[in-house]
Amino acid sequence: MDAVMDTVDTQASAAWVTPVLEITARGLNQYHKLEHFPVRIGRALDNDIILSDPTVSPYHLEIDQLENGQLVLRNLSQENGSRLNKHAFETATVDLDGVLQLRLGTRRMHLLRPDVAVQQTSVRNCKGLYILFCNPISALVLVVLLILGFTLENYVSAYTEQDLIYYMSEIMPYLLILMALTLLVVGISRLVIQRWEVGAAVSLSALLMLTPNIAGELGHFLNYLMTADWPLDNFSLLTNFIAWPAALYMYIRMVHHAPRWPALGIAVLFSAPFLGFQVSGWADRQLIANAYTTEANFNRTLSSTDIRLKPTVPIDEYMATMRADLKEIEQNDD
Amino acid sequence: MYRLVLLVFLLLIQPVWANPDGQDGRSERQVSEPSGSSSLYSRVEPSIYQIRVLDKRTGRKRSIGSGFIVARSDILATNYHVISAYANNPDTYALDYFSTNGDTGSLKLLDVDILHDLAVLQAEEPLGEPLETALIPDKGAMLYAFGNPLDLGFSLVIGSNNGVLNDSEGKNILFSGSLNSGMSGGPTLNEEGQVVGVNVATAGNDVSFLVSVQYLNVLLERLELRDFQPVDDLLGQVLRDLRDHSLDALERLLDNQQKNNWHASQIGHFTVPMRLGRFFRCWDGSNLLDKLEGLSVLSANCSNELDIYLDDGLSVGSMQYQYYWYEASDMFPPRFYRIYEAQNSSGMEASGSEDTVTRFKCHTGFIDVSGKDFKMTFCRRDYVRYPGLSDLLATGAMVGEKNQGMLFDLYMTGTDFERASELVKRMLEAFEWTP
Repeated sequence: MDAVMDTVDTQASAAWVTPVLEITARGLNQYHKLEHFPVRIGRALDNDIILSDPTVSPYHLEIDQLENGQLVLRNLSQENGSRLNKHAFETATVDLDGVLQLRLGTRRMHLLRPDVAVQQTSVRNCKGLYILFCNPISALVLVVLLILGFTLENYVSAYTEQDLIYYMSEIMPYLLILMALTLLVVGISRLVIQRWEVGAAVSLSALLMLTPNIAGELGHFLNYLMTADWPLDNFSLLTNFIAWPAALYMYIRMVHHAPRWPALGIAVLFSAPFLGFQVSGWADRQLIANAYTTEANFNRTLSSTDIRLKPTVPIDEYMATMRADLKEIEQNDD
Repeated sequence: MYRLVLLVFLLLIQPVWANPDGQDGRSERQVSEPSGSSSLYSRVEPSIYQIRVLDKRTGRKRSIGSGFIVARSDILATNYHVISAYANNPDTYALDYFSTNGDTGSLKLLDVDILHDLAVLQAEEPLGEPLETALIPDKGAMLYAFGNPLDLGFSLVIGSNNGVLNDSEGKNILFSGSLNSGMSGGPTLNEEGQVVGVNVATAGNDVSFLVSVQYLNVLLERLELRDFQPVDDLLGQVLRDLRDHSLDALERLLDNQQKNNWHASQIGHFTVPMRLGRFFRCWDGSNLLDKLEGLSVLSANCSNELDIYLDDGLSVGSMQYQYYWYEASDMFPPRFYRIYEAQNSSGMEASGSEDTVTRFKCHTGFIDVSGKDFKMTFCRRDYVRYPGLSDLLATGAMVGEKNQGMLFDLYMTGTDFERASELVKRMLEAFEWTP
């Protein structure tokens, strides 16, 4: 464990370079140029580099530079020790070739050469679908769409004529949910990227609320179109599975400038509870569909636009196909 | 046919049977005397029994009813529905009688008339004096119904005869007395102590029904010709009777249409067939639905009011259908269709269980009805133990009109699916759109 590690690399490759110490922190990293040696790192306030992490000892590590450019690392900590490239050490002499991983206690850091290539600058152009998130106008448009959409739904499902006041009060809960969702999103983002991105958060929240409704309407339309019940069930499931993670992914890419795979991962992770809920609903429906029932199951949707694939046929033709379809029922028939 | 001949024959000889001087030792002669109800009570008490269906494993009674001695001293008559549990599951249940003085004994099922809810049972030894039978007396005459209400003991209910219900298929007798469950299968006697009807049902409020004893006599006559041997394929016979009945009824209705005897009625913009035959009763439902703002609803429903009891929760022979017309002249069409769709989604309720009926299987399509498009669905389910009997459920909804809708719901139980669907097809063809 506490093996003394000797010189890692004997090649005296170093030209004289000023190492850079990168202390990784959630979100933004800290960088220190090591120009005056020896550099003492620890929690005590008289160190050259102060780390406030509780697992770091008051005097934890000393870094010195030899004349040939090699670095000498000396562990000063008795409690949690230091690790270089995952190996614990007391003293180590290294060449600064590439990236050296250091760990003091639980704090990770890297020793870098100043000429190490950095990531490409993340350019998030405000174009394509991303406009939804970066253009504040889109946030406004989405909110208006939300209000119109829900109000229309309320209008169509109200059985009697109602006043404007009624519709205003009906839309209130939805606006409150929108606010809460926005607050949640903007808050999380603020903590991570240290910026307030309200417009994008509004857009995301509005999109998350709109998708189930749009999926429902489309599903109903498809049900009538196909004269069947499976489109709505499966279609809405599909849209939610795709739409929510997609919206989240785009938000994270746009606002957090995260790379593709981490963004996707986070998007799926945060959608998981809602998607799990949908899947359990779907499973329940499958269970019911196969159970015995005295109810007759058939498509009962009606639509004012009457857009359908099944054509109208004369009664005789329907009777013939119906009789062929409904010949003697087997006990286990669906 | 056979039965009809018998019926006529029996109706002719009825008065002779009832005449004390007429017959051989087939039925014990009762000396008719003017009787008060209390002497009637004591006279007939020994001939009336409680009929019980017992669970073979526990020996406890599952259901009870009443029965009475008729035709021969070891023959009891009762309702089919009293013993249906036994008839459907003879391995699980047993039949026995329980007399007013505590005697019991086992019973054998000889024959049933499923259409009139009658059953004839046989005891192992002579039980007592058979009751005589007679024609129904005049309307308003006093009748005495006997039985065992709610397992409380032998009782008498007095009521008046309100005649035979000629406009219903079963042609039951309307009895204005309070029959109770437990009295099913018991006899209702005239003043002379002769059986004129068998207690079968009650609608509460002193409205009760009796099966005309003439149907019992037909059943007894049939048994007599077989020397009171039990029928060997009861299920088969029941099935045949039900199928014959259902096919007859359907043919009669189809025939009625050929003769232009279907009464048409206007519902919204449609003229639709309403009463299909004399056994149908139709009601208007328009005032039952709340009038929503801007939406007007007209509706009517018809039923043949027939319920042939087969088993617990299972009865057949009924046909009911309803029409609904919706119109909302100024309503935003998507809103109208929301309401319309909600109405379409509340369907007719069906009963049953996995071992009596299969699941419904449905077929949906769009048909042309008098120039209008209808979304039509036919559903079918079959009776597990009665092959050839099915339930037919038909639903139609008019589509294509922005502010008008028409719903047609029909449900037939225990029928022949092919013939029944032919009937529904003719009904649809009889729709007429009047702009």
